[in-house]
Amino acid sequence: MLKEMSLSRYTPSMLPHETLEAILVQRHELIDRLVDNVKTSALTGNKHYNLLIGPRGIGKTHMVSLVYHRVSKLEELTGQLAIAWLHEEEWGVASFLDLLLCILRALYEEYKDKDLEARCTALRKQSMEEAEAQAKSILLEWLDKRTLLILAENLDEIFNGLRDDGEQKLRAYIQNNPVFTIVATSQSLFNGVSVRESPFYGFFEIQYLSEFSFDDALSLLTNIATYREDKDLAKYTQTPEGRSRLRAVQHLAGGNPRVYIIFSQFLTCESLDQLVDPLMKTLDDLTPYYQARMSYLTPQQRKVIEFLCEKRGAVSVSEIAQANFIPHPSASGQLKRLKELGYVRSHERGRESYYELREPLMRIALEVKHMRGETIKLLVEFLKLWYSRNELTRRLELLGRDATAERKYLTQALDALDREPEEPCIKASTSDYMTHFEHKDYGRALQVADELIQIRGSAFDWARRAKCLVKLGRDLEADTATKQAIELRPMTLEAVADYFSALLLLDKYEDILDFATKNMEPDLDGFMRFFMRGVALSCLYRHREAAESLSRAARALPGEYYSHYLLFEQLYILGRYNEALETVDESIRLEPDYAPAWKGKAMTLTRLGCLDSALVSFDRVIELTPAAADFTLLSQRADILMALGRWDEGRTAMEHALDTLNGSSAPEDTGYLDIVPNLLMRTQDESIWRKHIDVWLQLFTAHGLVSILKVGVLSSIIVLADHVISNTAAVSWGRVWQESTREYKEMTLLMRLLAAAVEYRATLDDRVLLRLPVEERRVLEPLIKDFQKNFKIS
Amino acid sequence: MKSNPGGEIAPEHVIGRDGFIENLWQVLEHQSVVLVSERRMGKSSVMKKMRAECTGRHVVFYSDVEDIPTPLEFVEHVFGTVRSHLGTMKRATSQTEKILGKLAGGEIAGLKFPPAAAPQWRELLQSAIGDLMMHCEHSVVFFWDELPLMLQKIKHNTDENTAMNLLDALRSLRQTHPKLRMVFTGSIGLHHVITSLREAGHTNDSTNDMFTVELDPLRDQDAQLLAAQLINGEELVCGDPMGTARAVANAVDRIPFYIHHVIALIKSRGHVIDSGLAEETVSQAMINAQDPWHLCHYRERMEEYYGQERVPVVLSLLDELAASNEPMHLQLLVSRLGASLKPERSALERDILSGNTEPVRRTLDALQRDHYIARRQDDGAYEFRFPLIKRWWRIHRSLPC
Repeated sequence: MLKEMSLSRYTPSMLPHETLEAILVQRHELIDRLVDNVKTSALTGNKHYNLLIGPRGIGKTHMVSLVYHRVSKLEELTGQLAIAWLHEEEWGVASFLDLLLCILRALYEEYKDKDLEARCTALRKQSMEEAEAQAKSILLEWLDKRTLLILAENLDEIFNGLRDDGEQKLRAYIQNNPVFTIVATSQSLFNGVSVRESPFYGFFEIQYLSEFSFDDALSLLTNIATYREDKDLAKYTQTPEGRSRLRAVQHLAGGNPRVYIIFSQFLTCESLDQLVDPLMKTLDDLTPYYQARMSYLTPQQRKVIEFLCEKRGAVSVSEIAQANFIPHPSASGQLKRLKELGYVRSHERGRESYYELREPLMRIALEVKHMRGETIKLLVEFLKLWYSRNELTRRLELLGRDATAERKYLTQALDALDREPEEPCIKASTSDYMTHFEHKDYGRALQVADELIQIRGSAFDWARRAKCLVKLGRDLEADTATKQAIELRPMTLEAVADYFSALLLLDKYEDILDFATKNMEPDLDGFMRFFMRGVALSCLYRHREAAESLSRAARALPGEYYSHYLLFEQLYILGRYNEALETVDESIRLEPDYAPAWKGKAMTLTRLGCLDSALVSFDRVIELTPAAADFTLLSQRADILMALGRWDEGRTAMEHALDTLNGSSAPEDTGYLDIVPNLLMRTQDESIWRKHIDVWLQLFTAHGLVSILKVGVLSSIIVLADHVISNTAAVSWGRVWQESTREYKEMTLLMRLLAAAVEYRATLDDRVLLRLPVEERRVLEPLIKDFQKNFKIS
Repeated sequence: MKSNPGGEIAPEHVIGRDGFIENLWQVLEHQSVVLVSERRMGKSSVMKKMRAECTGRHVVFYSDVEDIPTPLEFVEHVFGTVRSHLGTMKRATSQTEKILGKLAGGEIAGLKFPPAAAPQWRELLQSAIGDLMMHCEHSVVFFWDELPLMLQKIKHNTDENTAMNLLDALRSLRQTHPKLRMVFTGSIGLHHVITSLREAGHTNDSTNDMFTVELDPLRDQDAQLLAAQLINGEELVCGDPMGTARAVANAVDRIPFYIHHVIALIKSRGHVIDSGLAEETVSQAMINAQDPWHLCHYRERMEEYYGQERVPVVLSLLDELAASNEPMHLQLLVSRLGASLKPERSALERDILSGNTEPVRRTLDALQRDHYIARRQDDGAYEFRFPLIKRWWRIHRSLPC
């Protein structure tokens, strides 16, 4: 009974020590450090002042409570330390005297000191100045050389009350009497500690409490299960279904530990019956909590939050500003502040920032009051976040005939889900999967893939599982998962895209061709059939056929920009630049903000020698997605500037491009160095070549990145296979490079290869290649593989 | 020893200041001191160490006086200090209590002076110090921390006259009592407060009898020792403790506060440290939007310190020095200013652009006093005082490396 009651939802300070320890997650080191700091402060002349920062519900009171309990039990501190644990909200502090009285009150309550209490009461008969002077003395006398630990929450509110004058007095008091140590909390940084002129600027050692990750939440629930001796919950959290449900909670709660604790009671609910009543009660209970959080905001901030509640998704700053009649800079400032306070989170897309509620549960709880009598709407809202579509469908199928109310809830929840672009729990799981996979944490990614299989079980989910297993070296299991993915032939047209993605992920291009060519069930429309074929063929390096298929896909669905873009890629690879340009222009017309298309256009124009237009296109890419401004793009842009005679600008731009590499010459960082082959394609004027090459050598050498330049020169050998480059030009190219790199010893080997390539192009005599050492020949052979075919003398 | 950035450091844990303290005692044998330094050097820690470890030759009092708003309350504070030192036996003979008794019409029991005492604060101060000196065989040293802040506060609450009068009174006391010494220090320079008082028409220099002593960053070996002790105290795993300690110390120009900060930050992120991580931590602190090392104040305080008109000149000078890899002489700096100053912006900039170098020299002097820059010993060329600040300035102002 005690254990059932003891997980108090809003007042961790009421929880017994053992409970606080049992459910501690993520912050073991921090709490150890805080307690250690208090010990040091009590036993030595060093005094520590700590400030914990984090939004409401993040666990600040839990930390403070734990510090109190642990420190109280340390025997070595008996007689050395006194503790003044102030109330979580000290509304009555409007001066330094008030703060002193709060501290004294905390002491006489803690230590049941009637004498101290009487002395404090007597102070109220004095003038303020006299009372303050006496309170200072009383406190020091009472401490009698012990150290005082002040535990103070919402320090920002206390400082608001103190104002500058009170802060100065407090600081002077601490400086003049080094017997204090402080552990304090605040929702965010505040002027009292962040403004240079403030007395407490730089005073505190600040730690930020981070929100719980999925793993932290799992640990928390496991701890709760253990503490409650709830075997069902403990077992449930280890299952894919349980973890998937937990992700739904994470999505709702935004990493707020308090909400996880609340929802721990619902995780194992089997029937809707068991869920509905306690759920509605919980939402009711949560409402004042969220309302209190709203009350801490300014009216303008509340307006923004209410707007985000209505919108239900990420919204741009401009839209928020416009819809609420707030100037853009004010809206931006308020949103930054709301983010610091933990109410919203942001996403960057291009140059725009988008904001959404950090805790969707806040929206639901606040809407409780708006939905008077419309319980079903609220419940439906919750259910679509809690269950996947499959689960809802399954539950609906299992319902008895007389379960009309439940049928209504579930049907409406399903309808609501159909209107969502993506199921929330799938979205949450997919996002976690991608994060783990990108971080090469394949074990965790596999767990999430299993959860997705549990809640959806599509071909793509199996494909993801297979991918993880391959990375983990579990090939047999990977094969099984792959088979499962392939065999899950889609039954609906909507599932085809999923199936296609699965096969792509598994590099099963022949299977895609097989499916697209032969499959009649479901009847693929023209677009899908040719699109899938085109993509598979391009992956198999059958570029001509790929271009043909994609061209038919584009004709079948002329309004689809992506197929035009993929077609452009094939045409570019085939060297059909004019057609490529036409195609990419069409893609841009259909989707003007698609940055890869602009990049493709820029590269094509460069190949065609239309440098001014190429420059405009490069700039557009950077404008659309600043993050896309990688070395490849920036170096090309720089080279175009130079080619346009804007040498100083070009040099500066190239320096900037090289700076982005931070000294790395790894291929994954550098991408392709197209500037070298582009130069050869663009002009056969030796003087222009020399000028560019000289600048490149200088800049790349200065940055220690000559190795990248070498790769570029090797790429130019492939271009020598093009008929457009005459033999004379090829010979000149080799000669200019030889002469330019005479002083660069590290280029000697490369020049040997280039010379051999040029000679081989002219003679097609294998003896040219045989003169090279075998390892150098191996480097050259793939680059010159088309020379025989293109230049064979009949 | 654990890292404790911003916290109170026990006197026995203050590292590398013994030599400085010994010198300071020697100066105090002869005159009072204005202790200056850049922020975070540990002035308060040094004073508290001196108080804790003073030999029987001195009676030392330390106070942070930033919260004192009027001269009368300052005198109360001094009186409280004197009274607690003298003890009950001698208190009965104190002149101050006699004066107070007359003003209040009876014996003073508490710590607060009666309002009627306000106009007599000077007399009371003289008397309180007089009482103390009469009963002290040894020399007496008052360490008054944040005195400039107190003067600013007094100026704000009363007027410049009153603040100046207090400084004059303290000077008079130093002249009256040969064994009395004072040490003024604070987080803002006393010269700023005195300048503002001068601008209000007061020409006295009430501190010209005091010796200015500057507290520098730690010496190399002391900074390394501090870093090493903190690495050890925090139980950080380290393959090359001395090398890493050196890297930490050098990365932050041997400034104790930042050494503590770097170790604390590394500790919060894990248990391993090496030279590379130390350097990376410093770099991250430079660009951290939350400015954990409060470096933005080097820019933010400029309007207050130098006035709105002079700020563009200050910014341009610091930009030039930050962008340069070598120290720069006055003439070179002046010639470079031409590109960034605008004659239409202010009379000062017009004056400089017309060829007058004096305002530039004065600005450079002010920057030197506020520890932004220093002059190379052999040729007087100017450069940033702390490479750490120079580096931050370059990043903050987006200057080329």
